[in-house]
Amino acid sequence: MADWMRLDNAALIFPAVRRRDWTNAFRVSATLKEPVEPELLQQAVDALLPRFPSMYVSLHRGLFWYYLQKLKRAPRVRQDGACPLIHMTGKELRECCLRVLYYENRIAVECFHALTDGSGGMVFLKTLTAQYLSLRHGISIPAVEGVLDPLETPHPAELEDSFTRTAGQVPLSRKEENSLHLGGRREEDGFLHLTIASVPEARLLELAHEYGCTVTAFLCAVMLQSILKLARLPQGGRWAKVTVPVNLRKVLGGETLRNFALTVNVGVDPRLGSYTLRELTRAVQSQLETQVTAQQMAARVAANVQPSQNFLIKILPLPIKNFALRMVYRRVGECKGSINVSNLGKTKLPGEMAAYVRFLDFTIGPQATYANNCSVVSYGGVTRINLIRSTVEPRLERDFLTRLVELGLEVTVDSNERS
Amino acid sequence: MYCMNCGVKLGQGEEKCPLCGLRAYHPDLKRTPGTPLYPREWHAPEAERSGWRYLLTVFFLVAVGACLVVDILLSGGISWSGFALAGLLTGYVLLVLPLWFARPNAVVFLAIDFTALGLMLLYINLKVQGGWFLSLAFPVTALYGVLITGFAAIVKYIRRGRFFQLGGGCVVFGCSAMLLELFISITFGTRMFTWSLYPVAILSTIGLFWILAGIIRPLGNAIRKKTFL
Repeated sequence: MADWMRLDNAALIFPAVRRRDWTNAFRVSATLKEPVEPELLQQAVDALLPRFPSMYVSLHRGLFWYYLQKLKRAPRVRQDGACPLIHMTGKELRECCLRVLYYENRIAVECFHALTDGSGGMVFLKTLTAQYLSLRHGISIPAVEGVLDPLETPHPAELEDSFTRTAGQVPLSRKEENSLHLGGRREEDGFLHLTIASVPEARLLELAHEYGCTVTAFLCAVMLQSILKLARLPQGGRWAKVTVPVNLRKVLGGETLRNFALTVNVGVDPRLGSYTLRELTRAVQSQLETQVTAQQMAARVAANVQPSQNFLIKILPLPIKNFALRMVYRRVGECKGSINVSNLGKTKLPGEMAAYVRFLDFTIGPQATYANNCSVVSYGGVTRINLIRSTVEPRLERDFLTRLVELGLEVTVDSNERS
Repeated sequence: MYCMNCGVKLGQGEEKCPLCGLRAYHPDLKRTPGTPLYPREWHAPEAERSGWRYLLTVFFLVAVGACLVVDILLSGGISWSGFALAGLLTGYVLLVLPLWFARPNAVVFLAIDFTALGLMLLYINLKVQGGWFLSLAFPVTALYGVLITGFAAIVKYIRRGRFFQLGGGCVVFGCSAMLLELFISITFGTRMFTWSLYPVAILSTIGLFWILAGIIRPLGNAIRKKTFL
């Protein structure tokens, strides 16, 4: 097997749009019911090296494309810092694109987005946690519910670029309305504020059903209400929009551990008047139903895949490609959404392991041009809403969470606020 | 414990509400502080800097060395290479110096750039004994240094009233043309008001348009809609 691999189609954009103060990264973490032992965690990380060849990699430049170099040694586990997703520098990415961190009861994995998406990251975290618990307690954890057998050889389907397999014949146009962004004073020192809201999963689901929509659509609608309240309007013809990543494994099939997600944008035009929550949930739900179909998503995939397979584009030197990708990202990337709401959905663990795990969390970093992002995961009857921001004031968090309280949810908040 | 303002329940590690800052306190409830969600100690990561600074520094050093060697070999001393060195040094300050800083402040570097430019002109003036530094080069460099640095500071630190900033900037830069003509006239004895009234009129008209766009909201919105980045 070669000791390097190409980036998957979705990953091509991430190294190109990196900035000196911003990298597109995300984090998944498991909070156990007991303190984590770093030595055992290191053993678990070492043991998974052959099982996850697409995760233990470093990023390098070729003449025409970036590529991922497989590592010969697993990265060292480190203690967590005061905030999640501290900027990954170019030097760090050339050494390893993955961080494994621990703090008190928590095991966290931070990952450059070019390696995998949230679902792939969660599979790695579950397997790592299972391996750690096996070493710690001598228990045997079956390879079910997203936990992989560490002794198996990686299946080729886990390493494939599923985008090229599933691309449709006709590309979907990327043309859509631009979105408004909330302003705010950025933290000068790069500190990222994280607020984690825990809400009862059953009550949230019940509430979403009362509004005739899914949990994702409900949270997007509440978020839109907050954005519409806080944004300085009008901002030209810009819409209030939420970017929703879609796990394509569920729509187009596949079991890859690399990136296989695309985003859709849902929102409303603030110039048309004010909206009630019911109107917003209806708008978001219908837009999601229209956009998230196998045909639509295959056409979206085609829009990304077709240019990258063009011979003339392939032979362009990497710096020119990077420049072009930055231009594309600027025109059709972050300007099309006001915030991400990324919901990994209901996550389960094997029964043998669940007894040791209190919470699972999923955190995406803020974007380069907007400061707030929201990511959600449900486990063990609790939905954890991770709200991250790179600005000083928690305006959006406060408005969003107090709305959830007013809707009858009990919201428990934890944060990394500096005292 | 719940936050009185926001209605959210505070996690065990929270000393105050992360949403509104209200300290968690109840006279009848004893609260044992839990483990914070993250370690409290924060070390800001070192900002990533461009590798170009090394490459460009080497390029400038090679250029300086080459100029000196060739000049000494050809004329036996420093003649024209003095001008080349002054130009290269100014170019280095303008282009490469900011790359050595993690978070270069544009306002500070603009002031440094104009100072470097002024010093280069002073050197040239002394070398050629031009006699135009005090009457022309110094006041013009100082004038535009102050205006451009001041404008950059306003744009950087005052986030509201962009149309007024743009309009005011146009009017001020337009009017500065008269001062420029005055300095030229003092130095070279030319007549006043031969050309400066044109930029004054044009830039002031453009400036007044932007100021009007700031005052008339529909006009401002229409311009924002068509020109946002």
